[in-house]
Amino acid sequence: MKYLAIAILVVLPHMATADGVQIEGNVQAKCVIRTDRTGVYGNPTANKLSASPADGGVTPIIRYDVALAGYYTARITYPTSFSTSPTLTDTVTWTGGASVSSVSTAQMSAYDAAKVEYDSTTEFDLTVAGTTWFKVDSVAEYGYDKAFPAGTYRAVIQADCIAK
Amino acid sequence: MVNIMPDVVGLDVTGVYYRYTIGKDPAADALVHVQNENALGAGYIFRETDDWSGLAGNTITKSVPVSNIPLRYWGLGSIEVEGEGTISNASVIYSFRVDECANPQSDPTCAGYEPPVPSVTFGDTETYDALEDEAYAIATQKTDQEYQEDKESTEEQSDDKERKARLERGLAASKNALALANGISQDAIISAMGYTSDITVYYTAQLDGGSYADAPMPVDGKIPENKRGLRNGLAQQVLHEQMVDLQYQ
Repeated sequence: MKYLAIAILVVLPHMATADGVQIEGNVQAKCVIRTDRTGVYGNPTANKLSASPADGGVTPIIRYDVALAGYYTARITYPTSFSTSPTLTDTVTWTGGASVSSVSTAQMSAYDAAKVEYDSTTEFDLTVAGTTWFKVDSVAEYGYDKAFPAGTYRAVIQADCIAK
Repeated sequence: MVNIMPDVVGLDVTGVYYRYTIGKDPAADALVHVQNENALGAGYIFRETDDWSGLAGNTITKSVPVSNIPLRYWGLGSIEVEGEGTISNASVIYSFRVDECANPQSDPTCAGYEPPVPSVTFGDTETYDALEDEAYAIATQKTDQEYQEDKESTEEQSDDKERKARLERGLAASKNALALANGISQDAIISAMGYTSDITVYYTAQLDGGSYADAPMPVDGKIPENKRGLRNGLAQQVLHEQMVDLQYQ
């Protein structure tokens, strides 16, 4: 038995082993979207809902914080349907748009001139690091001079930060 | 700045948050300076410049951290446009912190706090004016005239006494002089009577014969300086200067 025990001890260090080594990492968000101000629809005429202050509404403000310049695109889509509303029997015509409301660096003021608009979406190339506030206009007109039914109306703006 | 910030010891400004809207032609050049003068020197303690050249006007909202600059450095604030553009809806907000132990006496928990010495309070005290004292008034009324009269009579009496004293001293001096002279003359007579003029012993003195060796002369023909004499001479000079200086003291 003594000899056997010695033999095992000698052989063990020469046995092949394997293990999996893990690598973990965490990527901090470099583009953060916040709602700075929620919008409110005004009802200037019976068939119209508008977020414009001129129409008694409140324009929503979306804030983009970008830590890295030139890596992200802000994509903002104004609503084309109500998420909450009474039953509507006629079509609703949607218009709107997004524009720069406020900037943290003067160079961001060029975003408006360089923005790309298609359908209900507006894209801004975030070429400067910092904070940009975008305002979104939204107008809904019901039928042909048809009054909106009474009730609560809600619509959602889609704001994305897309890596290039 | 003191008008818009609390006047508290240990207040440091940690950041400036400003917002304004600039209206301008996109093709025009414009620099906007948000600034505060240095209250303790020349120039600005804070100056942030936004370059709107070639850009459309917009609203800017900016937060600029500063490195805990004490309130006393912050002078007059302003927004200045260099170029073409107009500013509207301007707002500047300063964030600050307060070191509550900047004055250690403000809080017993602060380092360097020293318990204050309790103040000693006295009751209502009346100031005593000796000149208003009744005793003083009485004393001055009664004694002033008497003192004046006494003074005149005393001066006359003292003059008489002085004359008498001088006369007595003169007489006494003459008596003493005579007595002294008499004593001296008597001593002289007695001394002359006892004087013997025996000077013959001086004539009989003789000198021993022989030869006298020559005194040794200086080998190198030089007589060395007497250092002791030199020191004495310097001491004399110092003493002389001290005496001269005494005239000007």
